[in-house]
Amino acid sequence: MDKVTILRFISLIIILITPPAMTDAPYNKGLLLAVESKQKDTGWVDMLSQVVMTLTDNSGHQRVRELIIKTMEITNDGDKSLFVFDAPKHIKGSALLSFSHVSEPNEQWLYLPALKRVKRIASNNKSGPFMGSEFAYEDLSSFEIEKYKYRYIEEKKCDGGICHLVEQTPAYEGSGYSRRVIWQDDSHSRIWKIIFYDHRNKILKTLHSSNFRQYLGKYWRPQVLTMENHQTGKITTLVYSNYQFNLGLRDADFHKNALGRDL
Amino acid sequence: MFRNVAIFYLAIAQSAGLAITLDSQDARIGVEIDIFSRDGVLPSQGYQSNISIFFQSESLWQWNQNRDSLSFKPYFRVDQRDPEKSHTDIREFIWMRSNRDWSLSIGIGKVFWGVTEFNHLVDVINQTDLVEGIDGEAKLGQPMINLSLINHWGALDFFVLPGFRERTFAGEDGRLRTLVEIDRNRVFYESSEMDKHVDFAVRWSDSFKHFDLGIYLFDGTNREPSLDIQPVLKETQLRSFVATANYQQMTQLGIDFQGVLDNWLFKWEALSRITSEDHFLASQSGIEYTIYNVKGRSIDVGLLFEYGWDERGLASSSVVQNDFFIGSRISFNDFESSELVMGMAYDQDYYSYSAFLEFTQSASDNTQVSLQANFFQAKNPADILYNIAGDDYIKLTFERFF
Repeated sequence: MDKVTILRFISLIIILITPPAMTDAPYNKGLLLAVESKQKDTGWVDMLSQVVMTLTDNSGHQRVRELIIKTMEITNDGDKSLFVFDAPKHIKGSALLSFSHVSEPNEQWLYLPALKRVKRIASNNKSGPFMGSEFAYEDLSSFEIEKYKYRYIEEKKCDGGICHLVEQTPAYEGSGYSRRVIWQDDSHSRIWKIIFYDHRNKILKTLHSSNFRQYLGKYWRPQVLTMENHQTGKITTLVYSNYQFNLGLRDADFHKNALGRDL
Repeated sequence: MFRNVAIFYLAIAQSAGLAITLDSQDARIGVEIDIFSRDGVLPSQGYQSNISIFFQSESLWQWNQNRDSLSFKPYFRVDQRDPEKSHTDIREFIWMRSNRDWSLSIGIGKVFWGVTEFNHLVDVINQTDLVEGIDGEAKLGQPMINLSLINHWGALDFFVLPGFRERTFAGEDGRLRTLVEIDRNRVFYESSEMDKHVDFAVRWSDSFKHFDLGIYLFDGTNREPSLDIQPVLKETQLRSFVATANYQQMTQLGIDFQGVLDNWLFKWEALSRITSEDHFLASQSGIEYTIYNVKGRSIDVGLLFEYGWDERGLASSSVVQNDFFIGSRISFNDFESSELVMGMAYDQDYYSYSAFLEFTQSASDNTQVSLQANFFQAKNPADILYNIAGDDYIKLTFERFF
């Protein structure tokens, strides 16, 4: 058996042992693809990346923010992430610590460097914007199978070759979306595009991913993410650089008392 | 002196053959314009406007693969009217060795503890730099040795605090001051070691799925002085009165709790303070409800409600003893990071109130402007708020970052 076949076999076992409420059909191709994508993106342990975030409004004005993102993979739950802002100066040193969970509300803390104060954030802010960008907190939390219900739509050509279009309906509370449609390529399970729909089922945002690169011979990461809000005309671009893996990060690096220590 | 210490630090690091790099160098300069609704009640306060300029720089050096860092933050202010408000402080000058599970800091630093918004009851390490603002958020740098351990059982912090900083107070010509002038030349300490007394603190804190909790014990000089009114005599004739600051020793147990449930935050700070004269409890309790992404317009609205209580009641040295607070924080999540914060405090014993509003916006990447308005209403001379009841003001601040 080749690797893909093994993965599909594992996926099938997972589906068979998952409670029936999660699958609305005996064979759910959408869920299968999600499981496959998650399987392929498991085992990277931890990573760090430098990100330049550019906000553009509908009249073309731009603001640039620079940040460092550290993430630690947590098996069987959402990941732990730390976002530390480096520019512009008026937010330099501000940090957001986030523990995302599959079935429970996320845990989040904000660090305000001027006051040296750590503030806990109410957990129901999934639909809120991340630091004034077009990315909501839920867009930046880790992908977990249990977060959505799946419906396979069709196959289409995309930048990654052949893409599977799958409708994902949030199964968690407090989402700003009624559903989203993902474009996942057949060869490497990379997500090239996500279309988000608001609660009135109108198209809200589109996320484009591009410049994928492979790390550790296994894990694909996009270098550029572009989120366009169709209702406001605003665009946020994230350009990733200097991806680093296997830094040996531990829980203590993601403790709220470690906030404010220099990276 | 500080410069010598810096050179000393760097010399040690260099002699160990380590590459030291100035990792970042930032500065900010700000201009504040105060406009008061009327002249002050005292002859020395016969003005309605004031200009103040402040400057802060921040330098960070790192070496030893960033495991060692040295942070230096001097602060300067020059005030048009009040020589006491013109002051210099070393906010931070601290070396830190960080490791995974522990960090050691030695130098002058700042530490904040607490969860509530309207009153920082349990925050105890740093002295309040009161001339900077009556909200008490500005703090003076505190000499400290801090060992911090982070483990699966939470974080444990040990503090040795050699040396004490006196609270700053507005001078004779300043506004927002006590009506009785404070005599800066006479400061009293309970401890015979005066401001050389070495204080200690230990704190445990951790975060859990639905709450954060911290408990500490502090032993040392009370940061909050009692102000004693003293007669000023001239040839046995009473001429006037002055207030003198009296710093007692205290042992204080403090606790801060913050619970999270959906859009709700539940906050509680409490302390038990033992001095040679007194033993009392005080608390600040609050709830915060946040509405995220109001009408899909990316605006977050937080609603705040707090209650402050002090067992000493009317005898309390704190302005908060039986007070209700309501407020709101609105984050616009726009390009300019616009934020509007407003609040009101009502004292149930003195029937006095104060209200404030603050709007902040970053006009560009390197500039920030803010507008702040404060109003006070107090009729009872026994009420601490009565001292500043005639000082309603608007403050405009322009800040530039380098």
